[in-house]
Amino acid sequence: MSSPAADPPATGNEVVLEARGLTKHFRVRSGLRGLARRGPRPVVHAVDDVTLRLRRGTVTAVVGESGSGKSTIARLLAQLYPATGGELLLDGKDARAKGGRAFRAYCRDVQMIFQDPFGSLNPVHTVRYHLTRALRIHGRGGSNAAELETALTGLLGRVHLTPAARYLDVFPHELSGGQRQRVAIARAMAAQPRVLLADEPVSMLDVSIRLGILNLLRDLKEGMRLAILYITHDIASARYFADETMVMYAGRLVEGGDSETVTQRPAHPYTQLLIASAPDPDRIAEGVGPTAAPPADPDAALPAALAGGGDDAHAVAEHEAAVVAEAEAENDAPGEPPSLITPPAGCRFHPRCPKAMARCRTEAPPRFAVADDQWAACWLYEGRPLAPDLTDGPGIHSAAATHAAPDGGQGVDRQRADRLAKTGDRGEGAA
Amino acid sequence: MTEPVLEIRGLDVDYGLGDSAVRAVRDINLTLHRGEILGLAGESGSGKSTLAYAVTRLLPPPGVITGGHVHYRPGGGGPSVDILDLDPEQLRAFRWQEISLVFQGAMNSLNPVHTVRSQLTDVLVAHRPGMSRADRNNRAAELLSLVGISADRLGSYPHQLSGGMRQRVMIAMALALEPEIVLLDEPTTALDVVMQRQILRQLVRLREELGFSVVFITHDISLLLEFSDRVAVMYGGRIVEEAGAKEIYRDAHHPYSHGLLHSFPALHGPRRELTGIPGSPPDLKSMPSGCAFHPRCPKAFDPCGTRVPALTPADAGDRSVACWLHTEHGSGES
Repeated sequence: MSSPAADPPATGNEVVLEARGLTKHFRVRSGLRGLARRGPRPVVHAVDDVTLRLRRGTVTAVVGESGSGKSTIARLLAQLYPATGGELLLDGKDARAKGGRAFRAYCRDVQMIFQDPFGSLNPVHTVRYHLTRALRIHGRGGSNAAELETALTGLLGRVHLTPAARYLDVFPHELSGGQRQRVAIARAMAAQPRVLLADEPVSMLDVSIRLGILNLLRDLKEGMRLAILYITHDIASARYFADETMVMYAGRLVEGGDSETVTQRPAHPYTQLLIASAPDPDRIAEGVGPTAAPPADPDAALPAALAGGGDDAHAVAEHEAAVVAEAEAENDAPGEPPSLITPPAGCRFHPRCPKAMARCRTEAPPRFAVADDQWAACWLYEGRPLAPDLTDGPGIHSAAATHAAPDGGQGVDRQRADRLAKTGDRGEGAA
Repeated sequence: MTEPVLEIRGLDVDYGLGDSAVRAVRDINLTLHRGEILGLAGESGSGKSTLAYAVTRLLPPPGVITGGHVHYRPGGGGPSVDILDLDPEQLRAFRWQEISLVFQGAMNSLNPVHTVRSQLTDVLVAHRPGMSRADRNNRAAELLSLVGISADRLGSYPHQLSGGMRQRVMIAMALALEPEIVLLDEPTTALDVVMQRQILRQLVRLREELGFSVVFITHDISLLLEFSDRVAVMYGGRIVEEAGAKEIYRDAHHPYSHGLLHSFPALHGPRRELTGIPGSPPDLKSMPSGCAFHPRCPKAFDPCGTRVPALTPADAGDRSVACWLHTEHGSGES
């Protein structure tokens, strides 16, 4: 499986926005009873130790169930919430801004679009007002009315709302859901950002128009070399739209890599469960009737068939097929996502995991490299090298993983590892 | 194919009266057979929920059934009833006893200040007056275990249950009187995929055990195709195509069904080219003339803009399509 996306220097897809060990804990509001209680106030571990990179001209998807913390990631990256811990780097420089000028400058580079286009546009203002305001705030409105008009027409043209005159002076309620989402995208584009954070941009839209919005985002990615974070619960759309996919479970990233690899050869037991559960009409097409609970799921056979590659890949695929089958068999009672106030120790998936071992209950797994462009945070892959993003001297990674340190330690390691990787692999050829 | 249990003939539903009425559902002909899962697909505003509410006569006030019949044929050869002719007293006895409904966003339909026990037994108090309290409690416990929740949860309040469990309680409630038909209106949209699959599996299994029929409404067409025996696709208040789930998936006849099937990415197999459907769904207040889909249809030709195609059988009668491309098949269009 080719992976142009996971090969940054070769295509010039440099990292724009990077999160290292990003953590967000929300305090639980306690009532009067809480006041009487002693000890630290409970927190919701919404996002723990999330490390990810957004590259130019690349779509990175974060897939997870509701409540897994994926929207919190988008909001942390947009700095709508202050992070509890970890680093946020824009072009390699610390980007954390409390507000004022620094925050506005950050917004110019990092824009966000929201799930609900019905709620994100003010119903009492026209499209013209929304876009003009965004242009003015970011100093792109031009110096006179004619320039502003050109800018507005350009923006609407970019999101394929043409002729612009027909859409400029209408109110949001006069537009369909898809058109509204296009206006929201145009508003984000007014700042000429380099990063677009899309929080479930199509899940509120009708099936037949979702594709149009995704294709529009893809055009923007290619035309403007945008780095896009695509938050979704639909792993099939991540496969279609994203170059890289990361899977999130209970506040942590559990697997990541090239979208095709992650969806076709999932390594982490949770990803396997997620993929086995996703609706898939091919199941009926393959003759598995909808009535009978299939004993052997076609999913089990698919990764093996698709793996193709070398012996190793084949072995991995076979192993995975077994895992998927097992996950399917246990599918009747796999439990539910854990409480994030008292998350399970060790790997957060272990209470539901068909493959859980003693170690899973005590130690959080680090990211192991499963394939060239795929990693999984799972002890099943112990013994494989750590994912290149995290490799460094012995001892550090395990310590970091065990305590899930949300400090800068891992970040530094990663930077060093990156430098090593660059000089080792490509530096010589390029220089 | 088994005998029909519900026959909908020429059903029309309007919202509002007179000239300003919005015609939400028009001329629906649909048959539900005993023991089958019939999927209703369509985008928001296509009238699928309105249809479900009309069949149970639960339409909220501006909604008016302006025509048609809904014949219900009880099991064991009883006389058929037209649901639309029932008086309020009969209707009260009929609903839930014969047809029950799991509502959209069902997780929030439970009363937060009553325990699961009192909400489950409430159904029995209303419909089975002769039942003793102990019997009702036993039945409630039995229902919970039917949907995979341990009986000691009877004393819980809804907020003490997770979303998936609340949804199961709703399904248990719908099955309390062993109805012939269960209507599921987007039963799992608020849940994540893992839970969704568990609940639907359970439902399929219960259907095998108890033998009820299901009308399954969702906008998630891949889910619908996987779990339904037959699928009816709705657009602009009409059924545009009806066929077996496999047949529709393999070879959709109506351009809208075809577009719908090419609007979502597949999880497996080759990455196929996705076309989507240009334009946006019609506004029910100003429906296009002729076939409602023709402004978005890539294959629209002369008659589409002026005449409404009727739902007519195609392919030896086990599927029907409402499209001029297929109704005038024999005569050959150009």
